[in-house]
Amino acid sequence: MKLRPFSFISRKESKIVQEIEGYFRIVEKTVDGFAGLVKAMAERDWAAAKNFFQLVLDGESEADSVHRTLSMAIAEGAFFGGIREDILDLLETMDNVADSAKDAARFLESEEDLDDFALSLLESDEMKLFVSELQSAVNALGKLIAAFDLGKKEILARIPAVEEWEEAADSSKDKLMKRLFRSSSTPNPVTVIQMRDFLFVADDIADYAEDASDVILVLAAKGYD
Amino acid sequence: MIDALLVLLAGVLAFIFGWNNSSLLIGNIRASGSLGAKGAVAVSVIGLLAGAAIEGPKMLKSLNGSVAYSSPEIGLAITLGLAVAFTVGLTFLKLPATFSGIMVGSFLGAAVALRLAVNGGQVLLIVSFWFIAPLIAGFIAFALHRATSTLLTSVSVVGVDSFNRLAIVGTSFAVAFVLGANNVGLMAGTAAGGGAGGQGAMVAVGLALVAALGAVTLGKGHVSDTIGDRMLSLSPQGVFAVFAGAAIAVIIGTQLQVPMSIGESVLGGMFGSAYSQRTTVINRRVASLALGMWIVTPLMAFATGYILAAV
Repeated sequence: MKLRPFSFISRKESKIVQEIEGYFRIVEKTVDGFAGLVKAMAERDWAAAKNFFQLVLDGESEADSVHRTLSMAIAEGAFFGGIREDILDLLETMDNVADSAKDAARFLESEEDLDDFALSLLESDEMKLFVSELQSAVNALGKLIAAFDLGKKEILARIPAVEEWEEAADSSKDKLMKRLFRSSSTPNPVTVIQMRDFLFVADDIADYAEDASDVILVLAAKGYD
Repeated sequence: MIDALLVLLAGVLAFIFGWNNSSLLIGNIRASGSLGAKGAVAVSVIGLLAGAAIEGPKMLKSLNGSVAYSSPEIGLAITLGLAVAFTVGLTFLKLPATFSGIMVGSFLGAAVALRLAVNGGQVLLIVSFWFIAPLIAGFIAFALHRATSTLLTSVSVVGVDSFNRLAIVGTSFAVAFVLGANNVGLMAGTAAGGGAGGQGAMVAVGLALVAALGAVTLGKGHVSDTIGDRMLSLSPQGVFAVFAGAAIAVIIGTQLQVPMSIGESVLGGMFGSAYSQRTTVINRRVASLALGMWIVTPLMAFATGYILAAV
């Protein structure tokens, strides 16, 4: 149940919270674009991959712009007594999620950059699981942000889910690393380095989602005490 | 001649008082961003005026006519003059000035030196209430902070934000009101020689305006900051609990004709609010300094008042 007994006083703040939810949807769209890119590359659907790559770039760029506008609105006058800096931190960390999606997508920018070994890694079940866990971590963050409307109890209840998905993604990343370095074939060392970096940067998506949940934990602890 | 001197001294004191308490009167609302500059000033001016006009008359005889039955004007002039000197000195040293403690101490010192009949019962009430008031404020702040933390658990972030806004404006008004009632009333009573009826009330309202002027023109919030900001950090709900507790303690003191320093009650409220939370970090050195000053200052004012009146 949504309890907003005094919200008529904080119209500006209410609008900002709604805009944060909108901002999250842009970040989520960027991460979904990244997931689509990995899938399209794995399926060797280069045209779709190109579209998804552009979607990621556009999403990240839009996220940057909304981040800037929201930060200015908060810095210039929204109240958020005691938690203003934490909300700015949250926006910054959410922006890092979108940045990581873009940075990871850059590794898959062109099919010419990927050899068969890299493509086989992208089409592996471990990779599918890893990418879906990254998306789940971001989705869990979205549910956490939606709990801003529901109060501290619900916020605290939704925080562990982000951490759980981040740990799951971390575990899948480790499995992919093992696969990368213990392959029976002899891959090109450049491909190994490229895919290792790709995995680290992609994993940042979940790491930053978890960082955002940590910021929300601090925000709830400070804002409600 | 001496009447004009008393009013002049009270005016200067009211101005310094406004400056000294500016962070309480205006700073909280401004710093929180609840209201703009004009709104913050309006809340504090209305609060001060309302307090001085409605409850201020209860404090007119809190020194002259209560602690001592009839002080000559020289005793009142010493009281106001020392209050000005001590408050300015302590403010420049960035130390918490217990304004009411200085006035009570210097008035009592002068009264003893002038061999006036001192009402021991009222003195005992005043001194004991100075120790009880922080406990009252602390208890109220503890209960309020616990209650708001519990009640707001299921409220949205924006709802909590709105509550914080209302609470800060409300408590800032309450603080201005009790400062007008107790402290400005005390100044007016001393300036008006215990000021009977309408004359004392008019002086109180005039001094409240002067205090507001002091808060607006010179106030940057330095002095009250030394007590609050350096001692511990509180959430907006904590600030609400502290100021509500302190305001209630001071208004109880006003009903008992006890000159009160809101700073003592704020300190008590801060402890109460802080201990209502699981984790608390308190700068004990700053708290000890404030406590020490509030004990030492009235004694110093007593000694100085005694010496000046004796001479």
